[in-house]
Amino acid sequence: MTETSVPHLRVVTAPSDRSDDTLCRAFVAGEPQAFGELVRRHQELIFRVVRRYAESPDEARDLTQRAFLRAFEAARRSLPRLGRSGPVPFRAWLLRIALNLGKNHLRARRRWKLAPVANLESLASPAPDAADGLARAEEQARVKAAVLTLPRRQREVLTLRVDGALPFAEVGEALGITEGNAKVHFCMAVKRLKEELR
Amino acid sequence: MTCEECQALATTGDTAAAEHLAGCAACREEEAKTKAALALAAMPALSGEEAAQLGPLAASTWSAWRRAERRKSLWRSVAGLAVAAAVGGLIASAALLRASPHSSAPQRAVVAAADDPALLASDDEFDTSAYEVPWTFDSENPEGEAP
Repeated sequence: MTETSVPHLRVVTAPSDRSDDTLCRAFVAGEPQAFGELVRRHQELIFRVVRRYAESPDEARDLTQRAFLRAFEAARRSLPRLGRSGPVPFRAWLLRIALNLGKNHLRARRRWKLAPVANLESLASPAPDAADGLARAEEQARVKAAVLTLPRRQREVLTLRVDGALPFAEVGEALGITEGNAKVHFCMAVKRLKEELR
Repeated sequence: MTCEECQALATTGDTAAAEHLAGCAACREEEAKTKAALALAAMPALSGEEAAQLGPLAASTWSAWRRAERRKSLWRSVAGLAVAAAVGGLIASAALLRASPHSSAPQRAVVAAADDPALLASDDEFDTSAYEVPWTFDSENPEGEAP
């Protein structure tokens, strides 16, 4: 097949009102425009979720891209099996994949932790007038680090609820738990964070 | 609802907890602490650099998808060729073995028993007369030199 005959992604300015399920099925059936539409629809949410696990915007973008690629791969693999039995939970797949990628990325980062010299120098000699700001930044960094050390389920619920601003029902759907269970995990996570602040 | 239950449920938007909060100063104070903790835990709004990353994301993801598809189809072709070559090799070697004359009639090994009477008899009757050479003396060439 020549390069010119391959379908290219068409730039669509106005998002359509087709559902995720319809777009997902259209993509698997061979409509490349559906791919771009699904990415544009969910890219900000996924980016906001994974950037907690990333150290830079570039890392967050890579994680977002990988999450989409895996979700589309999962859709292509699973759709023939699912058939027309029900709607494709594309957004839930995407969120779950993004959280797993973030978790794996975090684990790899902890294994190969690097401390940039410039950051160490700036921490060692703060300006006197920036002491308050620094104290707050340190507190914020401590709480953010505490979020990453929460038990997996609590961290996932907190990330989806706080970073993704998702309702508990959707948090539960994405993680394969009930809404009530998601609320319980959220309460436990908040309790631990408050203890961290004391 | 108790204060403890309220503090657990206040963050989940529970209506009973909201009613309790309206009449309980201690719970309101605790809820303010919870909100502060969540504000510290929340990520800041997307920066300009981060927002810029999202612009070309759809196109770059589509390119990555197509690259992966091409790689997969290349691997499938290579694997197909390897399997075809292996099957062809097997068929060819089977045909060669069938066409070979040695393979159709395997040779029988001839085994002679050590106590075969025929062999033992021939050993006993070894005839040395065949090795005897007639000896004549040439008087003109006593040294036996070549003429």
